[in-house]
Amino acid sequence: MLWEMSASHIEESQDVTSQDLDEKLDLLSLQCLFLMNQVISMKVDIERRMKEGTGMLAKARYVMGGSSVSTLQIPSEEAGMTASTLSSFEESERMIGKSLRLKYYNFRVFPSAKVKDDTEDEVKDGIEQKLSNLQLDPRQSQASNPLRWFGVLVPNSLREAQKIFGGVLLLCAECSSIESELEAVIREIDILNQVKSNRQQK
Amino acid sequence: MSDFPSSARPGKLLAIIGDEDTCVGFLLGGIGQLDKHRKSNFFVVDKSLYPSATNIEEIENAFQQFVKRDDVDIILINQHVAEVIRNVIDRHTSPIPAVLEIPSKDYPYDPSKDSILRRAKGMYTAEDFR
Repeated sequence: MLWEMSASHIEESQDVTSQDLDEKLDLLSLQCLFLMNQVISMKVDIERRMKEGTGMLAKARYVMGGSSVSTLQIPSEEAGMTASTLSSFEESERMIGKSLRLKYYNFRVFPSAKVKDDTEDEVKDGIEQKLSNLQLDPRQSQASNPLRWFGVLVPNSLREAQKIFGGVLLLCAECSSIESELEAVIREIDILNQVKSNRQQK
Repeated sequence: MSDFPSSARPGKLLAIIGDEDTCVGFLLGGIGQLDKHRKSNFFVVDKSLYPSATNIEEIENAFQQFVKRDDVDIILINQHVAEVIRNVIDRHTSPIPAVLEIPSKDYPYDPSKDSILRRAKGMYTAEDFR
C-alpha cells in the first residue's frame, strides 16, 4: 500500500541537507495550499451542481405529484437495481520539484451516461469537456435505467436531474483524487518535520 | 467494458450516506446496487429522526459496513451527516475506500468542518500563519 512507505522515506530524508529539507518543506507547503484551494473550489462546484439537480428533482415532483420522486420508488429487489456507474482507482505519481515524488490514488468514475472520446477536441478543459459530452448510453434506455423506477413517461426535468447527478459523480471522483494527493502531501510534510525536529534535538 | 483502459477497469461501487434528495439524485445517476442478500450501497438519513441517538448509531453502523465492504471504492457522505459521526470518520485513515464529504441542498459546504482540510490546517501552528 502507498500508505506504508513512510519508514523508508524517513531513512532517505536523513541524507538531505538542512537547506534541502527546508526547500522541500516549502514546496510541499505550497502544494498543500494549492490542493486545499482545489478541494474547496471543487466542492463549491459540486454544491452548485447538486442544487441544480435537486431543483430539477423538485420540478419533477411538481409535475408528477408529491411523493412520486422519493426513496419509495427505489426497488427493493436485487433484479431491479444493478449499479451501472462504477468506479476504479490506480496508483499515480507526481513530481514536486526535482526530487520529491508523491504517490497517491487516482479515482475514476465511469458513468452510465457514456462519455465521448475527447481526444478530438483538446481545447476545452478536461472535466468541463467530459460534462458537456455526456450523452445517454443507448443501453440506458433498457430496463436498467433508474429513470424506469419513476414510470414510463417521466418529465424532462427528471432526465435533466439524472444528467446533472451523473456529472456530479465525475466531479466527486476528481475530488477524491485531489484529496488523496493532499493526504500524501500531509504525510510527506509530517515525515520531513519529524526528520527536522530530530536534527534540531541532536 | 472494452471502452476502458486496461489499467483502470471499473468494477467497484460508490456508496452514499445522505438525505433523501442526495440519495435519490445519485441513485438516479446509476450508483445503486442491491446484492442477493438485499444489502444496498446507500443509506438514507431520515430527517424526521435526525439527530436522535438511535439514528446516529444507525448512521455509524452504515458507515462501518461500507468501510468493511471490499467492493466499495468511494463513500460519499453529506457533510452535515458526517458531522454527526465525526469521530468515526476521523478514525478512518485507510485510503480505500476514500471518504468524500459533499454538501447538500440544505447545508452548504463548510471547509472548516471538512476532515482532510482540518488535518491539513492542523499541520501549521499559529506561529506559521504570522
